[in-house]
Amino acid sequence: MKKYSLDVADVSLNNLEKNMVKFETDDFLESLRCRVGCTRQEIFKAKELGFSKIVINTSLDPLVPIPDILKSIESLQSVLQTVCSNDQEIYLSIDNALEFPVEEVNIVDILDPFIAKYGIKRLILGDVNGKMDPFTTYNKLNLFTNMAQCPVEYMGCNNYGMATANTLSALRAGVEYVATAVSGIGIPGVAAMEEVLMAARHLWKNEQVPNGYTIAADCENILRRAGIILPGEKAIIGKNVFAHESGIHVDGVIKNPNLYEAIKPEEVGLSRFLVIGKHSGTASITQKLRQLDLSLSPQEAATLLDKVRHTAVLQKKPVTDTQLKTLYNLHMESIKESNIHLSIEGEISCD
Amino acid sequence: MIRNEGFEIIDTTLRDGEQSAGVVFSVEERMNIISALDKAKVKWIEAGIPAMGKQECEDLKLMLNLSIKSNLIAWNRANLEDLKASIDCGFKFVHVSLPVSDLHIEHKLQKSRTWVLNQLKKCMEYLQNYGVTVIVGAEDASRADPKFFLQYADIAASYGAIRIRYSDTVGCLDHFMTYRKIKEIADHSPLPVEIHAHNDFGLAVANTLAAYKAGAKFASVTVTGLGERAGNASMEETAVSLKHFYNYDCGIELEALPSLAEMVSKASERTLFPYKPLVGSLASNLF
Repeated sequence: MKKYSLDVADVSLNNLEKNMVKFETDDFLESLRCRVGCTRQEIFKAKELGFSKIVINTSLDPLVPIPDILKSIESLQSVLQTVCSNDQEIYLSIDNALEFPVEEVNIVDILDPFIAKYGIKRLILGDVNGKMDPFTTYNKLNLFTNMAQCPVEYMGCNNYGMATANTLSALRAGVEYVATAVSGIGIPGVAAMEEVLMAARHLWKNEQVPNGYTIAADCENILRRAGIILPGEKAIIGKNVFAHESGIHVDGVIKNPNLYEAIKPEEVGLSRFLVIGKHSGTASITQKLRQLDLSLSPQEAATLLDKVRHTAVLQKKPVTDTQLKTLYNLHMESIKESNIHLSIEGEISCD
Repeated sequence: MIRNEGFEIIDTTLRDGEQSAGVVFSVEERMNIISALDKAKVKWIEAGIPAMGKQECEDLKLMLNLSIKSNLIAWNRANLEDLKASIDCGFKFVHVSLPVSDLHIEHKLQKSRTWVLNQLKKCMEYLQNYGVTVIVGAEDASRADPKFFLQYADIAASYGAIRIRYSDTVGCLDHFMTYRKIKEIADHSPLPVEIHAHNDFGLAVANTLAAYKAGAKFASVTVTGLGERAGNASMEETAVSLKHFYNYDCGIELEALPSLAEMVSKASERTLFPYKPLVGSLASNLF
């Protein structure tokens, strides 16, 4: 948490109870917030467990008339009245706050009187159904952050794949805190922490954002503990995001990596590698052979390339280093003994 | 919100998607994917790169023989040899691509802006002899001088190209930048602009939507977002988002998308992340 300047980590009371989680020491409770529903019972339970930071989650129906919204807020108020004390930091989350049409129902305005009265530490404005696009998100949050009497946090969900973009919109709109998860996991998913951090650092050139020199391994480590396997193509942290196969790209990357990479692999703790396969060109073959301490003239590389492509198509897979070496050796032999016809099919060992 | 009528989707799963390191589709898989895309009413399909060799051309000819409504496009580097391969295969729609950023022109091609413009002219003149419809691609447009992009587009237009692709080749834009850049270009381009977004920061779909709002008329996408590095804009997220956020129907049958995603996931041997929006096993069905 320190490494990535994280403010706090959320746990849900539901999951703690379901999984019978027990904390052996209270040391790190300070860095956790307990998410509870809007009931006295749940709030007291969280207090009992020793949490001093409590997020009260509530959803309001944006389609009902204002008086009905006010009624739900009254019941919220009655809960707040009984639970708020100086020992706790209370965060109020309106899970679907972004769904309210601002022109008709200004939810931040409506909640305003409670903020000071109950000492709400922060107002969490959510888009739990992921219903907003990044531009609407920006406009609404721009308005809300200017009005709110306390710091605002945004939680965007990924139902339509907009969570990262919406979270960047929130930051642009002046929101001070945003909720993310490693690789965006969750049901529904949220913004991917690594994407938000690295976009702010590298696209916006914000140097206050922590560096990502070990972010790929850190994220993978957390996901592994949750039993989640990260796909190779996952933006920022996937193992294959710096893999290059196509001839044009490899040729470019050899000349200058900036041509086909937005950031350097070491900036996220990954490494670049060449994959030899159907889309390889002569530049990639030559480069790969050089890495294997083998050499070939450009003309011969073209002939070998045909064989490489043929093999990749046959096996529906890239060609491994061992296979490439075998193909290379066969090719060199065939040059030496050009009278002997060699078929490469069926002679390729897979490893 | 005023809807951007006439906005169309181009699928490049079989070209940019397959170009993803380690992915190889078999001929059967490609035929099946094309048929499924056609059934889903995807109007434009970038089918492959004829310059990749004899076998590839034979395979592409089989695809051109399918009786489908979708238009199949051949992708090409801007040289006459590559273009000849596309013509010989029998393609009616030909995409020809050159980089437009100084970075690419100097470091990759080791040429000049003038060379790029002349090369485009040479290719366009060559293609005019064959009566094919031409689409022009501008690689690394997001890092290029917009004035040069427009110069390049002018030449493409003067030879009758039907659209120009604006590639964010390394995925280095966010949605605010995309909106600003595409707006500037779309307002002055003689040709309709196609956005081609990459997902390096997880923003490919958001950037595609930004381009839609800024006046682009086309977007290239891939099924499941399969593509180089972190991939491309995913067809399912783009099509569903256009409908949901802007009430815009891009013409694609949304109900066909989950099975298409499964088909491409299998063929590319890439299991879908359970948390992937819309098509992951844990996602809610919003089609």
